[in-house]
Amino acid sequence: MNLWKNKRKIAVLFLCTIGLSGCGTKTDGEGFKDTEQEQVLYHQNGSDSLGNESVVKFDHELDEYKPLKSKYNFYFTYKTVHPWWDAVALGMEDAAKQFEEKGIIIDYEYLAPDSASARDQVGRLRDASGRNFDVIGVDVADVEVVSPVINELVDDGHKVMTFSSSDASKEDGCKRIAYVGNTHNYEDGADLTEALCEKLGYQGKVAILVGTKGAPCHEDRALGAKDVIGKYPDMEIAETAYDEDTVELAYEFTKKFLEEHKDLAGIVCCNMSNPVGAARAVIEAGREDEIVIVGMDHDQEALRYLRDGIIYALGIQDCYSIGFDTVQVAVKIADGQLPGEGYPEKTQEITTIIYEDTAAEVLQTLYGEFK
Amino acid sequence: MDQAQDKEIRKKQKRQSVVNAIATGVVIAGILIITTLWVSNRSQTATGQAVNQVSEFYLEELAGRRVQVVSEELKNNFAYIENVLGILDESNLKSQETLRSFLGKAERLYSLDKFALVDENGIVYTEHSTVSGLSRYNFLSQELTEPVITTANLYGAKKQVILAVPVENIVFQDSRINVCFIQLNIDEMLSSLTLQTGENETYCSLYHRNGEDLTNGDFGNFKAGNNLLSALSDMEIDKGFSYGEMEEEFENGKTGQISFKHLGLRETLCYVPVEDTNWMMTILVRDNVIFDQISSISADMMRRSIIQIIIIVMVMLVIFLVLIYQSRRNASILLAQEKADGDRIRSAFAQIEKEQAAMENIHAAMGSGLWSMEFNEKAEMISCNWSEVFRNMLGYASEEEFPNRIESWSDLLHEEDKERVLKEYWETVTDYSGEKTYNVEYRLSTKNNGWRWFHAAGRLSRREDGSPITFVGLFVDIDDEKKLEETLERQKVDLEDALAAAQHANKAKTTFLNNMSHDIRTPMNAIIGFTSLAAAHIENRVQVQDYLSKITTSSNHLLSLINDVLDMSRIESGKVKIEEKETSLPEIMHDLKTIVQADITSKQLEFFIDTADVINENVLCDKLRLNQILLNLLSNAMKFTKPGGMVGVRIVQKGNAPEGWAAYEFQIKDTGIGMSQEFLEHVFEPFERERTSTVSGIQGTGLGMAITKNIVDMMGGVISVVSEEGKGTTFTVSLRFRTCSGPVAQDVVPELKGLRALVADDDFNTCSSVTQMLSTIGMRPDWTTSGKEAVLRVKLAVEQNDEYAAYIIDWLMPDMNGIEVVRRIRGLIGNDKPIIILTAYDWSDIEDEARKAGVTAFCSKPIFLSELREILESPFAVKDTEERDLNDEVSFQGKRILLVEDNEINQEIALEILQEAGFLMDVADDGSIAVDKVKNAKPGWYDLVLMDIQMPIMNGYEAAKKIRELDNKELSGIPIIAMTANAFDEDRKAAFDAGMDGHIAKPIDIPKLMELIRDILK
Repeated sequence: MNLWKNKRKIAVLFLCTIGLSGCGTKTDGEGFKDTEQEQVLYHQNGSDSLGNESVVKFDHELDEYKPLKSKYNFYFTYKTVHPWWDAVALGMEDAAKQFEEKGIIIDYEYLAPDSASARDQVGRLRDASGRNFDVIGVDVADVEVVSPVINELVDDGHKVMTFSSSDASKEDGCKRIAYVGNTHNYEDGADLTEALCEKLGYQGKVAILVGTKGAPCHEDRALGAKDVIGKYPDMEIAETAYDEDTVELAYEFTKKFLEEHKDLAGIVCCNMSNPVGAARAVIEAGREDEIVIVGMDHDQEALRYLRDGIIYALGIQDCYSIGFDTVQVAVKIADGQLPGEGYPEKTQEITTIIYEDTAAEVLQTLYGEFK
Repeated sequence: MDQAQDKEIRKKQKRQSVVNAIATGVVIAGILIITTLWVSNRSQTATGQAVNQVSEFYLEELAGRRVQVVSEELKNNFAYIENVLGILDESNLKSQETLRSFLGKAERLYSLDKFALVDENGIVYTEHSTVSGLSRYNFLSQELTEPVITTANLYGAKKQVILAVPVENIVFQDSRINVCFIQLNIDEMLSSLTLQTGENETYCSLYHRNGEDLTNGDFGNFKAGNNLLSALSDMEIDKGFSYGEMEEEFENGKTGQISFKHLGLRETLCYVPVEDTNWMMTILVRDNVIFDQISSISADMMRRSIIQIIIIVMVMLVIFLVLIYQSRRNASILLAQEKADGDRIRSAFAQIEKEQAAMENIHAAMGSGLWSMEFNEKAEMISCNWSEVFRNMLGYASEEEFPNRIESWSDLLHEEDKERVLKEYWETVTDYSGEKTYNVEYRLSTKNNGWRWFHAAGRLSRREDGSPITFVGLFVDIDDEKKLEETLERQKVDLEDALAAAQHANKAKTTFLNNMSHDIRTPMNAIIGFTSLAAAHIENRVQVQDYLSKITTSSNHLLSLINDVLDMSRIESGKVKIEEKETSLPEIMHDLKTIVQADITSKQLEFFIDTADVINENVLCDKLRLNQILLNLLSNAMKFTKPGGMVGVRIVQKGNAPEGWAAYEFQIKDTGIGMSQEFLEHVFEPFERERTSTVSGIQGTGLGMAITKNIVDMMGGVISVVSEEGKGTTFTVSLRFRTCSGPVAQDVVPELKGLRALVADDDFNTCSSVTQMLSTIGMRPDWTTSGKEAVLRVKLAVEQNDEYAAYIIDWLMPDMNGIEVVRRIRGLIGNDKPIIILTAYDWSDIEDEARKAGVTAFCSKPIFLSELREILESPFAVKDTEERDLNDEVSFQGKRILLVEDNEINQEIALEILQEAGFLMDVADDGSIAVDKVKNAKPGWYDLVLMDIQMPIMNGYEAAKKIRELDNKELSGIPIIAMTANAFDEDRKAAFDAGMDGHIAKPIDIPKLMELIRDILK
């Protein structure tokens, strides 16, 4: 468990170790960078600076691949309108710009409902299938509901990929061609919870705010959290709630947790919105010194809470790279390349766990904010 | 003093001079060095202070200009948005592809990072993408009601400025577009505003008023993203500045400055609000940059100055010594030269004085006065000198009376010449090229002789740069020559006028002769030609009758041409006089109608004649001329209107006449061929005929309108014409006459008061005027333009037991003939009520039928109030307005006429005509024979004398007078009619003055002659 307190060098070493040990390796692909053997997770703690490494890699450049067409038209749909996916959109935008500089036009739609809905997603996919897109990308809202539709589309000759945070893999019976995004949601949830448990001295009651019911990423993280807590006999899951990835519901649930569990020691938050809602409720209750909160993602307000010691740790996903690589992989899929030829079946993006000491630097990097 | 002593003294003087020169040089050098050092030191201190002050102004100015640039940039970008939205149309909104293409063009056109439209669901449309934008763009979270400037700062992306405007009335794929925004790169916008030269840097940046950094770059030593206010709160602020004050100003968006020490450097920050935003433009400059630079320049300047001064002093000393030596050497030579020059100058002055005196004598003798002016380098006059001769020429004796000032002369200039002369003067003085010469003629006011003409000429001597030195010139009195010139010029103009008038008259004469030659020859050709043809076919009666008819037509035309020419000639020579006599307008109008009746019928024209608002029916006017005007216009109207067309006459009394006067408007309207707009401009000019009328074969002299216009002018009236080709013409004659009796009685007729009357006429104007007249006399009139409706109205009135008391029915109505209308009305109302037929036509042919149908009386159009009143006041004893007195018919059988005529042909024609009419004829060849015959005849032997005027031995006037002087009253009272080619008004008047009873002009108009004889014999 000392791993979480290691300096950056140790973190890199850890990552290299994971890399070398190989997590589903694929080494034969040329012209693609992020493969499953590469780093999965950074853990940052006790470092004053991130140094040359960054939680988000903004310096992406297109690989050597030469697209076959001069113009592509993609359709992407994701769970819900939310700043997290706006960060993905920035990566997409930059990739499209870089293609444009090479004379290749990428037109795309990147749309989502105001609140997560698998049914809405299914409708969008069916609608997109009739509009002659080169590739359809989906951030799966609910594997069970969406997978059959993806299969229908693939059977009809459409090229469908998954991206962002939620995959529907072959193991789930889904025929999608490839996935770009977070492939380690379970690990993210587990690692964050591990940090929380350590902070609590491996004892106490913990509540879990999951997010959207059925969303693979949220459910996987919650599962990781539950498994870790289950390992420690003096720890207990006080309650689990689905906040629909909204700040308001997370706030309400946390208020309820605090009222009903006076001895609550920590909260695990599995999406971008709920750390904010949880922190607000804890501050309001004046219990910020008692409750340890861990959560996901890079919400500016959440980062401020991290900087100010209200939140203990945040797992920052590299959304920009997700967006950038999604477009790059989509071009190859559109050109008829299969996974393994120019890109892996799963392009993994990193998650970095950061603590109070580097929160200010991340705030500056992502939002240009100085205190 | 001997030569050696003198030499010694000179030597000493020389030594002393050298010593003095050196000492002076040293002193000057010392003073210069000390002064330079002092000045340099002072300037360094002053520079420091000045730099502070200047840098304050400079920074504010610098910031202000950059703010303007940013503001302009923002405004321009808003304008771009408006421009793009302005050209967005339906074709761009057809599909996603067309919209994307349009947005791409907009981005490229204005070099924007992003040009986007946002629909009501928060979907953002750009050139290459369609994305959900509600969470990404904060400004979309609420409804946009006005333009917004905001920044986007997302997830590591460079900060962007977003300009958004609300949008209305654009729908894309069934969703309303609510917002349009563009994205600008703020660093690019600022890059052009930062000044950087080596290490001397001026920094420029933008902050929110809360101190938050808006840009992505460092600001001097302030790191990107730092809050400026927070950073400054830790700084060491210079004396005279306060952080609190600065923070307040910054937050309230006020301009200000603050100096502080930052990382060991003294810096000055200037902040200025950016218009229409909550941004502050900041300029940062480091003081040491300015001070170091200036100190270095200052020290360098001082060093250079000292070296320069030393060199100058040394050079001065050397030059000084050389000059002393040279001056002494030259002194003796100059002394000798001066003496010689003095002699020459004195001699020259003597010569000049002599020449001046001679010149003055010459000027005095020639009457020319000298003047001169001196100018300084700025071309300003410094002296002015008028010679005595010139003063004397103007009548002034001394300088007191006529001072040496330019105004003494310029004030005397004639107003018409002043501007020109002074302009010439100043242009000469200021012409630095020296090319212009002053040479003018003008009038001056002299003291005793009024205005006189002078000629002035002068030249300027100039400096090298062209500026004037001396302006010298002469005045010469040219008044006599000028007046002679003017006289000659006047004579020349008079001669030219006379020549032009003569040429014009000649041309007019030629034109007249040409016109006359053509217009007379044309009918003459017909007359002679058809006469020959008639002689050739004398046996063929029908053919001869046809030829004679054509000869008659041509003769009549020739006669009207002669009449018109003579009329025109008399009008132009002023022989025609307007003779005002009491005249009845109704009589004129009825006569007019009677005259044209035959032509109207023969040409099958529709004829309207009516009145409106005429309350003064009797006026003082020249009846003959008024008749002539109306007849001319009406004849023209008939002539140029085809069968089936309409001709109308209307008299309207206007209410704009002064008391004792009445104003009328006579409108003559037709639906004929009309006139072109080009011809309308010449319609009243003699011999002008529309091309179409000549082509169409309509005869005319081209004088009728000119005569009419002249008569109207003579009567003080106005004639105007409106015409359109193919549609018709309306002539309007406005005349004003003195009234000779009061207005027609307008009081209510008691017997008719409140009774109903019905007017039926297809002419609305007639309905209107008759209805108004009926109202005036107290009746309750109804009117209709339809005969059928008239019958219906009568039927209705009978049914309602409110019958009409009088009916005024037009004869010719399109839907039902007036006689038929009367017949039907009679069927409804019986025979009690009067029914009057109102018509513009001759009703004699239908009178019997009309009477049988129930017509009570006939009334001729136009009807006047007095006439209507007369008819209706005694409706129950109605009589015709034109009842014929058949008993007045006179039989010519057995009546004896003495024809006095010297011309045998005329005798023959007259005898034939009159004998054919039943007269017994006797002939006298001249006046004296006629007098004898009458004198010697039994009373009653002759019933009438037809007297020619121009005859040998005794003319007609004298003969008439002699007859009237006969003692026997029966003989002296015999009717005498002048039958003469002297057809003018004055001839007619002369005939009456000589005691004759009538006048008929040759050639003889047989019907007129018969009517006149009938009238006289009655």
